[in-house]
Amino acid sequence: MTTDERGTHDHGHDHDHPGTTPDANETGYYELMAEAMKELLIEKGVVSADDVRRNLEFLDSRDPAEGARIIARAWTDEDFKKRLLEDGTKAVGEMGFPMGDAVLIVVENTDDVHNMIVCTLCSCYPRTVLGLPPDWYKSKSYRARAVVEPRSVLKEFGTELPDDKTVRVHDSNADMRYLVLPEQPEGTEGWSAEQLTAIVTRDAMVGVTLPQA
Amino acid sequence: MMFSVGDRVRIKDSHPPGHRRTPYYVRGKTGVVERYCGDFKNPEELAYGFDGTPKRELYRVRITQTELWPDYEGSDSDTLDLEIYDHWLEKIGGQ
Amino acid sequence: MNQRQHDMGGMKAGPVESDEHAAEPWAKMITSVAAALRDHDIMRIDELRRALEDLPEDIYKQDYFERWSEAMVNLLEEKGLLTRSEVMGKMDALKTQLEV
Repeated sequence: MTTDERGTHDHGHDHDHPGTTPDANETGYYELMAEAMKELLIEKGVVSADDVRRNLEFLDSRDPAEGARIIARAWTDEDFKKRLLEDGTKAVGEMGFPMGDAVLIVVENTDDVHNMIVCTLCSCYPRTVLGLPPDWYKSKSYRARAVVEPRSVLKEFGTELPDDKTVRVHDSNADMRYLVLPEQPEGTEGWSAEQLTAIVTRDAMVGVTLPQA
Repeated sequence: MMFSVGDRVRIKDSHPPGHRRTPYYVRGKTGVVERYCGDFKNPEELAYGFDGTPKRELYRVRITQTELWPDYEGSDSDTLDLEIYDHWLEKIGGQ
Repeated sequence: MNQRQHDMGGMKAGPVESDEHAAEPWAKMITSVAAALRDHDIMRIDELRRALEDLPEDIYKQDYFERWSEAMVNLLEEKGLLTRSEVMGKMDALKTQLEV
Protein backbone atom coordinates (compact mmCIF):
# COMPACT_ATOMS: atom_id res chain seq x y z
CA MET A 1 0.00 0.00 0.00
CA THR A 2 1.31 3.44 -0.77
CA THR A 3 1.25 6.19 1.77
CA ASP A 4 -1.24 8.02 -0.41
CA GLU A 5 -3.76 5.24 -0.06
CA ARG A 6 -3.19 5.07 3.63
CA GLY A 7 -3.75 8.76 4.00
CA THR A 8 -6.98 9.02 2.11
CA HIS A 9 -8.75 5.74 2.80
CA ASP A 10 -10.80 4.86 5.75
CA HIS A 11 -10.01 1.70 7.73
CA GLY A 12 -13.09 0.22 9.27
CA HIS A 13 -14.37 3.52 10.58
CA ASP A 14 -17.98 4.18 9.76
CA HIS A 15 -17.28 7.75 8.79
CA ASP A 16 -14.55 9.24 6.73
CA HIS A 17 -12.19 11.79 8.23
CA PRO A 18 -10.76 13.62 5.30
CA GLY A 19 -7.35 14.82 6.19
CA THR A 20 -6.47 12.17 8.73
CA THR A 21 -4.42 9.02 8.54
CA PRO A 22 -5.89 6.28 10.69
CA ASP A 23 -3.29 3.64 9.97
CA ALA A 24 -0.10 5.03 11.34
CA ASN A 25 1.37 1.98 12.97
CA GLU A 26 4.33 1.81 10.71
CA THR A 27 7.55 2.89 12.45
CA GLY A 28 8.76 6.20 11.17
CA TYR A 29 5.46 7.15 9.58
CA TYR A 30 5.16 10.47 11.38
CA GLU A 31 8.84 11.18 11.10
CA LEU A 32 8.37 10.86 7.36
CA MET A 33 5.27 13.06 7.43
CA ALA A 34 7.10 15.79 9.33
CA GLU A 35 10.06 15.62 6.96
CA ALA A 36 7.75 15.76 3.93
CA MET A 37 5.94 18.78 5.33
CA LYS A 38 9.20 20.58 6.04
CA GLU A 39 10.58 19.90 2.56
CA LEU A 40 7.39 21.06 0.88
CA LEU A 41 7.32 24.27 2.89
CA ILE A 42 10.92 24.96 1.94
CA GLU A 43 10.39 24.09 -1.74
CA LYS A 44 7.41 26.42 -1.87
CA GLY A 45 9.38 29.18 -0.19
CA VAL A 46 7.00 29.43 2.78
CA VAL A 47 9.92 29.10 5.18
CA SER A 48 13.62 28.73 4.49
CA ALA A 49 15.90 25.95 5.63
CA ASP A 50 17.75 28.64 7.53
CA ASP A 51 14.59 29.68 9.42
CA VAL A 52 14.14 26.10 10.56
CA ARG A 53 17.79 25.64 11.44
CA ARG A 54 17.90 28.80 13.55
CA ASN A 55 14.88 27.68 15.52
CA LEU A 56 16.38 24.23 16.00
CA GLU A 57 19.60 25.74 17.31
CA PHE A 58 17.65 27.86 19.76
CA LEU A 59 15.68 24.83 20.91
CA ASP A 60 18.87 22.81 21.38
CA SER A 61 20.38 25.61 23.45
CA ARG A 62 17.53 25.52 26.02
CA ASP A 63 17.53 23.19 28.98
CA PRO A 64 16.75 23.17 32.69
CA ALA A 65 20.28 24.26 33.57
CA GLU A 66 19.22 27.69 32.26
CA GLY A 67 16.37 27.89 34.74
CA ALA A 68 18.66 26.62 37.49
CA ARG A 69 20.99 29.59 36.94
CA ILE A 70 18.04 31.93 37.49
CA ILE A 71 17.06 30.20 40.73
CA ALA A 72 20.62 30.07 42.05
CA ARG A 73 21.00 33.77 41.37
CA ALA A 74 17.74 34.53 43.19
CA TRP A 75 19.01 32.55 46.19
CA THR A 76 22.27 34.47 46.30
CA ASP A 77 21.14 37.95 45.26
CA GLU A 78 18.28 39.40 47.27
CA ASP A 79 17.77 42.38 44.94
CA PHE A 80 17.57 40.11 41.91
CA LYS A 81 15.08 37.89 43.69
CA LYS A 82 12.91 40.92 44.39
CA ARG A 83 13.01 41.96 40.73
CA LEU A 84 12.35 38.37 39.63
CA LEU A 85 9.20 38.11 41.71
CA GLU A 86 8.01 41.58 40.65
CA ASP A 87 8.55 41.13 36.93
CA GLY A 88 9.90 37.73 35.88
CA THR A 89 10.11 38.59 32.18
CA LYS A 90 12.22 41.67 32.79
CA ALA A 91 14.46 40.03 35.39
CA VAL A 92 15.31 37.00 33.23
CA GLY A 93 15.79 39.42 30.33
CA GLU A 94 18.67 40.95 32.34
CA MET A 95 20.28 37.50 32.27
CA GLY A 96 19.82 37.27 28.51
CA PHE A 97 16.71 35.09 28.32
CA PRO A 98 14.39 36.27 25.54
CA MET A 99 10.82 35.47 26.54
CA GLY A 100 9.42 36.63 23.19
CA ASP A 101 5.65 37.10 23.39
CA ALA A 102 5.38 35.14 26.61
CA VAL A 103 5.22 36.73 30.04
CA LEU A 104 7.07 34.95 32.84
CA ILE A 105 5.62 34.83 36.33
CA VAL A 106 7.89 33.47 39.03
CA VAL A 107 6.07 32.05 42.06
CA GLU A 108 7.93 31.63 45.32
CA ASN A 109 7.72 28.62 47.62
CA THR A 110 7.81 29.59 51.30
CA ASP A 111 7.34 27.91 54.67
CA ASP A 112 3.59 28.31 54.16
CA VAL A 113 3.06 27.92 50.43
CA HIS A 114 4.00 25.35 47.80
CA ASN A 115 3.48 26.16 44.11
CA MET A 116 2.97 23.70 41.28
CA ILE A 117 2.54 24.32 37.55
CA VAL A 118 0.34 22.54 35.00
CA CYS A 119 -1.31 23.35 31.68
CA THR A 120 -4.64 21.55 31.49
CA LEU A 121 -5.55 22.74 27.97
CA CYS A 122 -2.36 21.94 26.06
CA SER A 123 1.15 21.77 27.47
CA CYS A 124 2.28 25.36 27.90
CA TYR A 125 5.69 25.37 29.51
CA PRO A 126 8.43 27.98 30.03
CA ARG A 127 10.59 26.57 27.22
CA THR A 128 12.95 29.54 27.08
CA VAL A 129 14.17 28.77 30.58
CA LEU A 130 13.53 25.00 30.87
CA GLY A 131 13.67 23.59 27.34
CA LEU A 132 11.05 21.15 26.07
CA PRO A 133 8.63 19.72 28.64
CA PRO A 134 9.08 16.16 29.90
CA ASP A 135 6.63 13.45 28.79
CA TRP A 136 4.79 13.40 32.11
CA TYR A 137 4.03 17.12 31.89
CA LYS A 138 2.19 16.48 28.61
CA SER A 139 0.42 13.35 29.86
CA LYS A 140 -3.28 13.14 30.49
CA SER A 141 -2.60 11.83 34.01
CA TYR A 142 -0.74 14.95 35.03
CA ARG A 143 -2.91 17.46 33.18
CA ALA A 144 -6.16 15.94 34.41
CA ARG A 145 -5.19 15.32 38.03
CA ALA A 146 -2.81 18.14 39.02
CA VAL A 147 -5.73 20.54 39.39
CA VAL A 148 -8.03 18.24 41.36
CA GLU A 149 -5.74 16.11 43.52
CA PRO A 150 -2.40 17.94 43.59
CA ARG A 151 -1.31 16.36 46.85
CA SER A 152 -1.74 12.84 45.46
CA VAL A 153 0.16 13.78 42.33
CA LEU A 154 2.94 15.30 44.44
CA LYS A 155 3.17 12.04 46.41
CA GLU A 156 3.67 10.16 43.15
CA PHE A 157 6.75 12.34 42.67
CA GLY A 158 7.85 11.51 46.22
CA THR A 159 6.86 14.91 47.58
CA GLU A 160 4.94 14.86 50.85
CA LEU A 161 3.86 18.22 52.20
CA PRO A 162 2.51 19.03 55.66
CA ASP A 163 -1.29 19.31 55.73
CA ASP A 164 -1.12 22.92 56.86
CA LYS A 165 1.03 24.04 53.94
CA THR A 166 -1.06 25.75 51.25
CA VAL A 167 -0.76 24.17 47.83
CA ARG A 168 -1.23 26.62 45.00
CA VAL A 169 -1.70 25.04 41.61
CA HIS A 170 -1.19 27.37 38.65
CA ASP A 171 -2.98 26.39 35.46
CA SER A 172 -0.88 27.91 32.69
CA ASN A 173 -3.91 28.24 30.45
CA ALA A 174 -3.30 31.49 28.56
CA ASP A 175 -0.51 34.01 27.95
CA MET A 176 1.58 33.64 31.13
CA ARG A 177 4.35 31.11 31.69
CA TYR A 178 5.40 30.05 35.18
CA LEU A 179 8.56 29.13 36.99
CA VAL A 180 8.65 28.00 40.62
CA LEU A 181 11.29 29.56 42.87
CA PRO A 182 11.87 26.70 45.32
CA GLU A 183 12.99 27.23 48.90
CA GLN A 184 16.74 27.02 49.29
CA PRO A 185 17.49 23.74 51.08
CA GLU A 186 18.87 23.91 54.59
CA GLY A 187 22.59 23.37 54.81
CA THR A 188 23.37 25.21 51.59
CA GLU A 189 23.89 28.64 53.14
CA GLY A 190 27.06 30.18 51.84
CA TRP A 191 27.22 27.96 48.76
CA SER A 192 28.28 29.61 45.53
CA ALA A 193 25.79 30.20 42.72
CA GLU A 194 27.57 27.46 40.73
CA GLN A 195 27.16 24.93 43.55
CA LEU A 196 23.52 25.90 43.97
CA THR A 197 22.81 25.64 40.25
CA ALA A 198 23.76 21.96 40.41
CA ILE A 199 21.02 21.09 42.92
CA VAL A 200 18.14 22.92 41.20
CA THR A 201 16.25 20.37 39.14
CA ARG A 202 13.71 20.82 36.40
CA ASP A 203 11.04 19.10 38.47
CA ALA A 204 11.66 21.45 41.40
CA MET A 205 11.12 24.42 39.06
CA VAL A 206 7.79 22.94 37.91
CA GLY A 207 6.95 22.43 41.58
CA VAL A 208 6.55 18.66 41.75
CA THR A 209 9.66 18.04 43.84
CA LEU A 210 11.83 19.93 46.34
CA PRO A 211 15.52 20.53 45.75
CA GLN A 212 17.82 18.41 47.91
CA ALA A 213 21.19 19.51 49.26
CA MET B 1 -9.58 48.27 33.87
CA MET B 2 -12.77 46.35 34.40
CA PHE B 3 -11.68 44.52 37.55
CA SER B 4 -9.39 45.26 40.48
CA VAL B 5 -7.24 43.01 42.59
CA GLY B 6 -9.42 41.51 45.30
CA ASP B 7 -12.69 41.72 43.34
CA ARG B 8 -14.89 38.68 43.69
CA VAL B 9 -15.70 37.38 40.25
CA ARG B 10 -17.64 34.58 38.65
CA ILE B 11 -16.34 32.81 35.57
CA LYS B 12 -19.16 32.54 33.07
CA ASP B 13 -20.91 29.21 32.90
CA SER B 14 -21.03 29.31 29.15
CA HIS B 15 -20.19 26.58 26.64
CA PRO B 16 -19.80 28.11 23.20
CA PRO B 17 -18.28 25.81 20.58
CA GLY B 18 -14.81 26.48 19.23
CA HIS B 19 -11.40 27.28 20.64
CA ARG B 20 -11.69 28.63 24.20
CA ARG B 21 -9.03 29.29 26.79
CA THR B 22 -11.35 29.01 29.77
CA PRO B 23 -11.12 25.41 30.99
CA TYR B 24 -14.34 23.50 31.48
CA TYR B 25 -13.64 22.77 35.15
CA VAL B 26 -13.70 26.46 36.21
CA ARG B 27 -16.81 27.57 34.33
CA GLY B 28 -19.47 28.85 36.70
CA LYS B 29 -17.00 29.00 39.61
CA THR B 30 -16.23 32.03 41.74
CA GLY B 31 -12.88 33.37 42.82
CA VAL B 32 -10.90 36.51 43.55
CA VAL B 33 -8.85 38.60 41.13
CA GLU B 34 -5.20 37.94 42.05
CA ARG B 35 -3.62 40.26 39.49
CA TYR B 36 -4.10 42.01 36.19
CA CYS B 37 -1.73 40.52 33.59
CA GLY B 38 -2.08 43.05 30.77
CA ASP B 39 -4.04 43.34 27.55
CA PHE B 40 -3.67 40.53 25.04
CA LYS B 41 -5.05 39.72 21.63
CA ASN B 42 -8.07 37.49 21.94
CA PRO B 43 -6.90 33.89 21.34
CA GLU B 44 -10.47 32.84 20.53
CA GLU B 45 -10.22 35.04 17.44
CA LEU B 46 -6.56 34.43 16.65
CA ALA B 47 -7.30 30.70 16.50
CA TYR B 48 -9.43 31.24 13.39
CA GLY B 49 -7.15 33.63 11.55
CA PHE B 50 -8.72 36.90 12.72
CA ASP B 51 -6.56 39.68 14.10
CA GLY B 52 -7.53 39.23 17.74
CA THR B 53 -8.67 42.81 18.29
CA PRO B 54 -10.00 44.39 20.37
CA LYS B 55 -7.47 43.17 22.88
CA ARG B 56 -8.86 41.66 26.04
CA GLU B 57 -7.85 42.34 29.61
CA LEU B 58 -6.34 39.25 31.15
CA TYR B 59 -6.66 38.56 34.87
CA ARG B 60 -5.39 35.85 37.16
CA VAL B 61 -8.21 34.50 39.26
CA ARG B 62 -7.62 32.57 42.48
CA ILE B 63 -10.22 29.93 43.29
CA THR B 64 -10.23 27.78 46.40
CA GLN B 65 -10.01 24.06 45.69
CA THR B 66 -13.06 23.46 47.86
CA GLU B 67 -15.04 25.78 45.56
CA LEU B 68 -13.95 23.74 42.54
CA TRP B 69 -14.30 20.27 44.01
CA PRO B 70 -16.75 19.78 46.90
CA ASP B 71 -14.99 16.59 48.05
CA TYR B 72 -11.48 18.03 47.72
CA GLU B 73 -8.93 16.21 49.86
CA GLY B 74 -6.43 18.69 51.18
CA SER B 75 -6.20 21.95 53.04
CA ASP B 76 -9.10 24.40 52.86
CA SER B 77 -6.52 27.02 52.00
CA ASP B 78 -5.35 25.21 48.83
CA THR B 79 -6.00 27.17 45.66
CA LEU B 80 -6.04 27.01 41.91
CA ASP B 81 -4.88 30.11 40.06
CA LEU B 82 -5.47 30.62 36.37
CA GLU B 83 -5.80 33.26 33.68
CA ILE B 84 -9.19 34.44 32.48
CA TYR B 85 -9.94 37.03 29.80
CA ASP B 86 -12.34 39.84 30.75
CA HIS B 87 -15.22 38.64 28.57
CA TRP B 88 -15.43 35.46 30.62
CA LEU B 89 -15.71 37.30 33.96
CA GLU B 90 -18.63 38.79 35.88
CA LYS B 91 -18.18 40.84 39.01
CA ILE B 92 -20.14 39.69 42.04
CA GLY B 93 -20.72 41.24 45.44
CA GLY B 94 -22.75 44.24 44.31
CA GLN B 95 -20.05 46.92 44.38
CA MET C 1 -21.69 21.10 25.47
CA ASN C 2 -19.53 18.45 27.06
CA GLN C 3 -15.92 18.72 28.18
CA ARG C 4 -13.73 18.40 25.08
CA GLN C 5 -10.85 15.94 24.74
CA HIS C 6 -8.00 18.45 25.12
CA ASP C 7 -9.58 20.20 28.11
CA MET C 8 -8.41 17.66 30.65
CA GLY C 9 -8.61 19.36 34.04
CA GLY C 10 -10.53 17.13 36.46
CA MET C 11 -10.86 14.13 34.14
CA LYS C 12 -10.33 10.67 35.58
CA ALA C 13 -6.84 9.36 34.88
CA GLY C 14 -4.28 6.96 36.31
CA PRO C 15 -0.99 7.60 38.11
CA VAL C 16 1.59 9.88 36.53
CA GLU C 17 4.30 7.85 34.83
CA SER C 18 7.64 9.42 35.39
CA ASP C 19 9.44 7.45 32.64
CA GLU C 20 10.68 9.84 30.03
CA HIS C 21 12.74 9.87 26.91
CA ALA C 22 14.69 12.66 25.28
CA ALA C 23 12.85 14.41 22.46
CA GLU C 24 13.51 12.61 19.19
CA PRO C 25 15.27 14.61 16.47
CA TRP C 26 12.14 14.70 14.28
CA ALA C 27 10.07 16.01 17.20
CA LYS C 28 12.51 18.89 17.58
CA MET C 29 12.51 19.40 13.84
CA ILE C 30 8.73 19.77 13.64
CA THR C 31 8.79 22.08 16.66
CA SER C 32 11.31 24.20 14.77
CA VAL C 33 9.19 24.22 11.61
CA ALA C 34 6.21 25.35 13.70
CA ALA C 35 8.36 28.07 15.27
CA ALA C 36 9.55 29.25 11.84
CA LEU C 37 5.93 29.44 10.67
CA ARG C 38 5.14 31.47 13.77
CA ASP C 39 8.07 33.81 13.13
CA HIS C 40 6.54 34.64 9.75
CA ASP C 41 3.03 34.93 11.25
CA ILE C 42 1.91 32.15 8.91
CA MET C 43 0.67 29.87 11.65
CA ARG C 44 -0.21 31.11 15.08
CA ILE C 45 0.04 28.94 18.15
CA ASP C 46 -3.68 29.54 18.76
CA GLU C 47 -4.48 28.16 15.31
CA LEU C 48 -2.32 25.10 15.93
CA ARG C 49 -4.08 24.52 19.26
CA ARG C 50 -7.44 24.80 17.56
CA ALA C 51 -6.36 22.33 14.86
CA LEU C 52 -5.12 19.93 17.56
CA GLU C 53 -8.35 20.17 19.53
CA ASP C 54 -10.38 19.45 16.41
CA LEU C 55 -8.55 16.22 15.56
CA PRO C 56 -10.69 13.10 15.65
CA GLU C 57 -10.45 11.28 18.95
CA ASP C 58 -8.41 8.33 17.62
CA ILE C 59 -5.76 10.69 16.29
CA TYR C 60 -5.78 12.87 19.41
CA LYS C 61 -4.84 9.84 21.49
CA GLN C 62 -1.55 9.48 19.64
CA ASP C 63 1.80 10.77 20.75
CA TYR C 64 2.12 14.53 21.23
CA PHE C 65 4.25 15.22 18.15
CA GLU C 66 2.32 12.75 16.04
CA ARG C 67 -0.80 14.78 16.63
CA TRP C 68 1.17 17.94 15.92
CA SER C 69 2.05 16.52 12.49
CA GLU C 70 -1.57 15.72 11.71
CA ALA C 71 -2.83 19.07 12.96
CA MET C 72 -0.19 21.01 11.02
CA VAL C 73 -1.02 19.24 7.78
CA ASN C 74 -4.71 20.04 8.29
CA LEU C 75 -3.99 23.66 9.10
CA LEU C 76 -1.54 24.24 6.26
CA GLU C 77 -4.04 22.69 3.88
CA GLU C 78 -6.76 24.99 5.23
CA LYS C 79 -4.44 27.92 4.57
CA GLY C 80 -3.83 26.74 1.01
CA LEU C 81 -0.09 26.35 1.56
CA LEU C 82 0.03 22.64 0.78
CA THR C 83 -2.33 19.72 0.37
CA ARG C 84 -2.42 16.44 2.21
CA SER C 85 -1.96 14.57 -1.04
CA GLU C 86 1.20 16.58 -1.74
CA VAL C 87 2.46 15.54 1.69
CA MET C 88 1.61 11.90 0.98
CA GLY C 89 3.32 12.11 -2.39
CA LYS C 90 6.41 13.61 -0.81
CA MET C 91 6.39 10.85 1.82
CA ASP C 92 6.41 8.23 -0.93
CA ALA C 93 9.25 10.01 -2.67
CA LEU C 94 11.29 10.26 0.54
CA LYS C 95 10.64 6.62 1.27
CA THR C 96 11.87 5.63 -2.17
CA GLN C 97 15.02 7.70 -1.65
CA LEU C 98 15.64 5.95 1.65
CA GLU C 99 15.20 2.53 0.10
CA VAL C 100 17.62 3.18 -2.74
